[in-house]
Amino acid sequence: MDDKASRKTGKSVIFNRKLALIIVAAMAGVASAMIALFLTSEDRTSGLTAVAPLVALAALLAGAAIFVFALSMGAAREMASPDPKTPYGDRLQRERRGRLFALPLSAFILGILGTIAVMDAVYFGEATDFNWWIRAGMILVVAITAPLTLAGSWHERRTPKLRRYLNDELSVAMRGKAWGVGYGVLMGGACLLYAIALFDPRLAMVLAPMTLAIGSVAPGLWFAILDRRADLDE
Amino acid sequence: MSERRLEPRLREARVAMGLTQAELAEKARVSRKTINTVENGVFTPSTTLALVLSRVLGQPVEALFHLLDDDDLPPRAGG
Repeated sequence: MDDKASRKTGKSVIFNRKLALIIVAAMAGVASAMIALFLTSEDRTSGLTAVAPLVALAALLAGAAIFVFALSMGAAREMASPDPKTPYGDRLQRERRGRLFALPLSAFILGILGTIAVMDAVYFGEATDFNWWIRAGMILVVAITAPLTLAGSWHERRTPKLRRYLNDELSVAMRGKAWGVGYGVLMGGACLLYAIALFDPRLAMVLAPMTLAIGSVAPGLWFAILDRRADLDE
Repeated sequence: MSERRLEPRLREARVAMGLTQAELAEKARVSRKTINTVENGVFTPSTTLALVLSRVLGQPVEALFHLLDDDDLPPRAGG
């Protein structure tokens, strides 16, 4: 494959991958809307509400299938370099940095928005409905996904070429530093939360999800900052 | 306790060989960013990587990395 053909294939693969991600986002949106409709509806036995869980499940499954397909296109992209001027490893690392900024921050904002309002209800014992606990548990999604984003996926360790760029000596060292920062932030937050709880348990309850979320996203953000610094030619 | 610092001379050796960071990274099978951080003294490479770089550039490790003792370091302001 000559350079021109390689670029054309690469651009086509990137377009398909972006299109797949847009569809996945749309599927997630449909699933969220269906779950919200089901949880907030008074009558769950008629109309769209009755089939909402099934529609949500179907949307999630379709989204997951498209997501797996989009990941498999990454291998094709590895063979096709769309921009020979920028080294392939640099592009991969830049994409990772983008993910580490965007994913934890958006998950953090969504988690905080979804959780903080229900903590008062949990504290006063008003959270008797399953819906409340679903909303209260949203922050756990952030607490799990944000560190996993930094840890990297099996996809990043799949081939020696990907390992070389995404799990190289520098990445491992920066990841170690980032975990250390995350641990420090989490411990600092936990100590502060404990101190607040001694004086104002209600405030501590409301702040608990925020502390968890900040501790969860801190390592990823710190890694992204270190990665950005490593790019600078000093 | 004496202060020690590693002064990399990787950039000089690479430029002398007419290699770009990306080309040296390709030969050493690391990322370009790793080469950049080693050259800037931001990242201290492992012994393995130092030996790989030494082999690729055809120079002993001591020629690529120089250990500065406190006697070599510039005096601190006010010190």
